[in-house]
Amino acid sequence: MIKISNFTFQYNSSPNPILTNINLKIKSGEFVLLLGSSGSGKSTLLRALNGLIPHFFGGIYKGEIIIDDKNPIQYPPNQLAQKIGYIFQNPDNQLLMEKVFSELIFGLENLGFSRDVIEDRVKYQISRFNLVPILNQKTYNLSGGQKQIVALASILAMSPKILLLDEPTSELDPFARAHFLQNLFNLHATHQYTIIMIEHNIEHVIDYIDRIIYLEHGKIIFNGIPKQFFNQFAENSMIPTTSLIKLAYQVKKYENRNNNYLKNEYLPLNTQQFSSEFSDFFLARQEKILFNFQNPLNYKQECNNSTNYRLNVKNLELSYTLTIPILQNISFSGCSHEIICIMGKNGCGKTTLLKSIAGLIHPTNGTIKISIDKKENASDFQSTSQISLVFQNPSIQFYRDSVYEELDAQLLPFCNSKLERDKRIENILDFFDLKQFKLQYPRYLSLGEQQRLALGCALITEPAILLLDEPTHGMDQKQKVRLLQYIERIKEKGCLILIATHDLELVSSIASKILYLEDKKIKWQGIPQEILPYYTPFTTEINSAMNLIFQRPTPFLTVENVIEVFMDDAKECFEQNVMDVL
Amino acid sequence: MQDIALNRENLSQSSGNIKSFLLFLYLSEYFVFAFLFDNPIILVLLFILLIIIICIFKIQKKIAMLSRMILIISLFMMLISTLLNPSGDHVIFSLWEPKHFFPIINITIENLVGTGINILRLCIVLYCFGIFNILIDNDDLLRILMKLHIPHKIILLITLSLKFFPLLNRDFNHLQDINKLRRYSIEPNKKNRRSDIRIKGEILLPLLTNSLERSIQIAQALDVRAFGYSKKRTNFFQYKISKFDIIAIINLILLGSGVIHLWIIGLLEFSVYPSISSSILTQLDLFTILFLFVLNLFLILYFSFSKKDFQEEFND
Repeated sequence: MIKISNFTFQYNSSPNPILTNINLKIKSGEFVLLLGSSGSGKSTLLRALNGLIPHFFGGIYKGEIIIDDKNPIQYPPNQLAQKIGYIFQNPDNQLLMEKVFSELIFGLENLGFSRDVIEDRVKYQISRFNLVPILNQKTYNLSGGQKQIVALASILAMSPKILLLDEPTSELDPFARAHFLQNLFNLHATHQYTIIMIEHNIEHVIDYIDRIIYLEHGKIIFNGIPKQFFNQFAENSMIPTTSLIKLAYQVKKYENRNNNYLKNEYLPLNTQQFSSEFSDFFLARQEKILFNFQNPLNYKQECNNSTNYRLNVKNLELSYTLTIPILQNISFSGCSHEIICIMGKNGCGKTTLLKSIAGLIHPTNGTIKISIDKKENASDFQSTSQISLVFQNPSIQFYRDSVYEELDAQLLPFCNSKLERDKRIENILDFFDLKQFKLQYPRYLSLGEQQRLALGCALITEPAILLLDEPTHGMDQKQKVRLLQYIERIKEKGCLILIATHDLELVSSIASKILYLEDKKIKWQGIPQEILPYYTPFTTEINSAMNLIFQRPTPFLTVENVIEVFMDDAKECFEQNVMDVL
Repeated sequence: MQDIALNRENLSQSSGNIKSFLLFLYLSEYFVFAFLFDNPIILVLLFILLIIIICIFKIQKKIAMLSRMILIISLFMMLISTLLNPSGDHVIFSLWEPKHFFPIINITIENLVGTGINILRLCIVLYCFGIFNILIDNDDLLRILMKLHIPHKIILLITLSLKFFPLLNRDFNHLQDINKLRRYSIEPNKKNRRSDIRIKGEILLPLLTNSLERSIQIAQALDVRAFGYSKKRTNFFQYKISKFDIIAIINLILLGSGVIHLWIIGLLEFSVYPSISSSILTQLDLFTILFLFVLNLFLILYFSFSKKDFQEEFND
């Protein structure tokens, strides 16, 4: 049992408390989802539970936390480790030893268990997660998913009663995420661990959680069962939700257009519940889908003219060493106003492909041809940047004292005129709503603001091709929606955008084309509606639900797709809802 | 539960053993010797012995990259030393008369020998690091340090550095990519040295900030894995020490203490400036070197017979 009473915490470096007056009780065996926007205090709460606060992170600590009669203030994290397991967001920072087996036994050796106990416990974890094939491998050679599984197994070997997970799947591809979460759910079902998990992608965990705790500005806004949460906040588009719940809410609203929406009605949380509740609604409107199957939802390839390309990749082969290629026989093309999403498992070569297009890795074979329009009124530019690449973690690339200086430094190699540079910087600050941060130190910005600045730095040279590596990584719903809007606006400017991502929501919302990499090659290539409905881990929740209702693959991937076809008269109302998020 | 054919002996094969630690000690001794002695014969011997180790473990290809780097640094050292160090009695070539105000470019025998000694020293140090990185299993090293009850703060420091440098390298490469995209170069820019230095200086800040953040995360990870929980830490792997291991340990102690003793009494002393020592080695020196060489040969023989105990990729 975890009991938190009047808990307030303020980091030494922060002017305000990050958590204020938290009162909470969590029973043994509960699976709790911690929700909240970035900076709302979720990670701080987990750190307070495992003793990292106050033993590792100092600050002003008020109130009391009791975990099974132990107060973390009296026990440092290494004393609580046997009771509380903590899984980090990035497994690279969690794995300490060189080999998998050494990693598994490390915690148990520290706890001083006998060799027999260590042997038994480790064997059990090896069997539970089927780790035999990777037992002798080096941890840094494992894929992201394998690393996270090893991190989980090594924590579970210590037999904690409570598991704290800080966005454990944010680095994983859909296959690895599904595998990791399935293991976690099985553990909870069979062993009744108390699990407290931070996760932005609610749809993957919603069926398994007992409770949602929603934090905002360091305060608990909601603490209750998921059904209640989504009903209470269904009308509030600022609160994180799943696309299926969003759609269910829209359908209910549409059905009850003339009446008031009934708050007592629970919204369906998963595809089964959704299909059983709304199958009549959709099946009654079958003629609409039949019509749209013939003209599939206006999804047309904009780059059908082979001469109208900005990027043409032909028989590309890439390798870091001379002997082992990472990618082989990669051919595709892209034109302006197009968004190409590159998908695939962790380590399949997505980032490598982006780097080679950006000119950072030279191909061992094949060609990358880039054609750009000559810009008018660009006389002040010595040369124009053709390609910009925004890396996954934007903060690493900032090293100037202010947002303005960061943008100016980006522009300096291309433009000598101070006047011209200032004009462009002002435009970019306007475009990305960064004007108020003009003189702020870039590393002090929030993740969303940093991502916008990174995009600004990339776009200030007006590149023909923009490459984005996992742009939604670590972002909450609000930041993500906002980023999607910016990407759309960049596309409208005529830029070809290539995005390496695992984010299905992003792909289904904005991709003109998908490249799926597997076994060093492009396995599938086409528009999302041609690919996603046929491959289970890559299907969106909306698509799964619609496929279930119609008992066949359908082209619906997003809430917008469904509304467009079935509730076209409610479209405006829905768009207003999306705008509210911004 | 799935039946796993794993027993402790099987599992322990997944990791190295005491030999990793002995090789670590052996390389550490070389590292120290390289700084203790100026005597070129000693340094050449150490260098040859390291080459023998490299050949025995067949890691020439991996060391080749390091050798290329040493070659470039050596040329640079040679150039700097020739231009800036005019010391030495035996002049081979001189560009200006000493009365001139400008720095004298004086190439002397002493100068060349002194540079050669420094290059040899650099080779030994870098080869020691190279062999360490390639052959020694970090897990083994940490485990043995823990078994030896080295204070846990020191082990924490070693763990941090073992994880820290590869990550630092990765961050540096990442920043290099970003700067290439920005059309700044981290490679030396002959045209604009000042901006070159400024850009490099600016990169240090994010590099250090990221590294600091990473070290904090690694330290947190150690904490949540109960590191330092109790003084009675279990060592899952039981290290069986054979007779040969004991002889090797005695050998290492003899070698280390013997050489340090010789250094204290100044037996293998060698001076370069102002002129090279007339007699490089005395008879006693020669005898001592021979004795140390035999000790070394035994150790190399011991490591070569234990090849299978080092990192598995070198057995493939």
